[in-house]
Amino acid sequence: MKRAIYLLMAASAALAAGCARTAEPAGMVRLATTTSVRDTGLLDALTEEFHGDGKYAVQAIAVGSGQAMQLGRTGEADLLWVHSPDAEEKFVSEGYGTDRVTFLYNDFVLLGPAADPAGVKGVKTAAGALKRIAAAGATFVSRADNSGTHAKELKLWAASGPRPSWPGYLEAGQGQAGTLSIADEKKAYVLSDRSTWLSMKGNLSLSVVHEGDPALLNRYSLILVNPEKFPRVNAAGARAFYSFVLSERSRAITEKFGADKYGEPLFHWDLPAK
Amino acid sequence: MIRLRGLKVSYDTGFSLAVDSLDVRRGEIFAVIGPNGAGKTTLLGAMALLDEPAAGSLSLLGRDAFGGGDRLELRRAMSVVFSQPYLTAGTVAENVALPLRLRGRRDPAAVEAALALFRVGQIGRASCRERVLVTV
Amino acid sequence: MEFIIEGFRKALGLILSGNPEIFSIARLSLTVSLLATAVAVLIGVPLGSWIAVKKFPLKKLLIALVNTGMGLPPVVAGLVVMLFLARSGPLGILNWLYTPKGMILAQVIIALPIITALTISAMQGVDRRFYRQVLALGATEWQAILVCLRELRLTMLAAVIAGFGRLVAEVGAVMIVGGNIRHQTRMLTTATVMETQMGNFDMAIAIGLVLLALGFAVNLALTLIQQNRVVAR
Repeated sequence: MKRAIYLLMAASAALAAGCARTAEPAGMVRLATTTSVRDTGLLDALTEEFHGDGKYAVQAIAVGSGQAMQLGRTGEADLLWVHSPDAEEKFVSEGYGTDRVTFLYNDFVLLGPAADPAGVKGVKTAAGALKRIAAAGATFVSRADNSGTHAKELKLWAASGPRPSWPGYLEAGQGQAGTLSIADEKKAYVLSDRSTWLSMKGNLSLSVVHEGDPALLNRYSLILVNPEKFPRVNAAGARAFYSFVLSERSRAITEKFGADKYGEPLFHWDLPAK
Repeated sequence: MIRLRGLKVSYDTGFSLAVDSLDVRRGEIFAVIGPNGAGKTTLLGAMALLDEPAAGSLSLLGRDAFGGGDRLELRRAMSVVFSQPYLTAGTVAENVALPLRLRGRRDPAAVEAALALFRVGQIGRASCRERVLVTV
Repeated sequence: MEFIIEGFRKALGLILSGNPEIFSIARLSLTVSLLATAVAVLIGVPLGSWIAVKKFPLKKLLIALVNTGMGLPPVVAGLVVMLFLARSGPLGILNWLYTPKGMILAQVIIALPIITALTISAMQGVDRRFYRQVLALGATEWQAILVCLRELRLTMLAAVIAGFGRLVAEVGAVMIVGGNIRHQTRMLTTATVMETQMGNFDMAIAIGLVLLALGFAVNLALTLIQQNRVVAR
């Protein structure tokens, strides 16, 4: 019996040692970012390259932009990679973030069932398309998670008055991938960033019903969490990753990302942004 | 050798035992007789230092047993035979060796000596797991 | 129906080809849950034995509390641990949030009441007279407890394995405390959720199968032990 106990303790110690080695590289940088950046795989590609430098490891927490900024507001994250411009500006002006740089863009697309019951195809503006969906009482799935996509959706509704509510308006409360799966299942309309759409297209039966409206432009920014406000923040690590993401190495990876798989790159580099 | 004074033991079932004084001299064979529920087992339990009495003083081998001293050492100096004895899982040898092991004696010589006392070799094997305890 | 069969077929392919992603996730799940079980046993078995054997006021209340702890929803444990480990939380200095250490802590908290309660129950099942006899044979209280635990070793083993099985299947706490970070805190359970949400059913089914296999192995071990118990006694 005693032998069994010693064996168990020895095994635990060995596992703990092994576990410790993999869990603590040189320094941890906590990045709060959006699910669209993670689900496309771009984040993995970039962090793998960054880890190769051997100095820091990135702990990437993929939540909505709103939640990411909330993490920034409590100093839980070291830097943010988000796409919710109005909220970002507020974040910086309130002193929580510094060095905000908008560097990447793609666009949002409105997806829906191929049959298009609300007759959205051909409508001139995205806001108009949404209005048509509401008027028809068709099913629409919203992110409803304070993400950048959610903010964009709300802004589009606001263009034509208060957001109507009808039984078909569903609030998923989760990331882009999960929301798209729900919309696919319910044959509903849904707003998505193009990159997640392209990466999940093969698994979905939805199609693009509206695109190209300048209002659907989607811009990504990096923001450093203000280390003066939160001394616990890994400022050096954050700046290292920040510089890396804005570097030529990263640009090379990003500009090509997805091109061979989807026929077009998922993200467009745009530094300095206008 | 054993001096018991003013023993009081009570269980939360409400049962209580009170013994004013009890003396057992060296070499004496002392029998406690009483009806069921009188408290014989309770008395022995207190004297064998297996239970905590509510009050009283016990002097064993000249040492104050209840008064905080080394109860373990005193307990190890006593042998108690229970009316319903239990065996531990394990071989005959392991059962015989248990009290030795508890006192930190693991040397095979001691175990052999103990087994010899029982003449286990003649009746069965020390490594046997099939065993039944028979009290005579 | 076809997409299920298709997904299943692809999943088997992923497993049989030794897909490294799946197996590194499995390795992490095993490590975290095994370690957490070990810590829970190291704390819970002595604690449970002590509670079972000692007499003290409010003993019944304490046992009831421990039993209630068994029903603690893992996700609630995860939430509490996350709040404590957050940078602005009391234990923020540890930097354990979003790391395997944090997940192990959460899982220890989940497993501890289970192991403790099962130990208490097992020890209370030991005849009090047996315990006293071992004391009379010259044992200290802890020696007597160890002898009793030896008597109960099959029951205890079953309890430990059951505890481990629960931990490896748990998803809420490790999701909240771990964050499902690739190569760092992605466990079999959280990976299944993510792959399902992304519509990668082949990966999801593959991971699910590995998880099932683990659960089956756990229960097989349990059953064999219990059969053994019937035979050996």
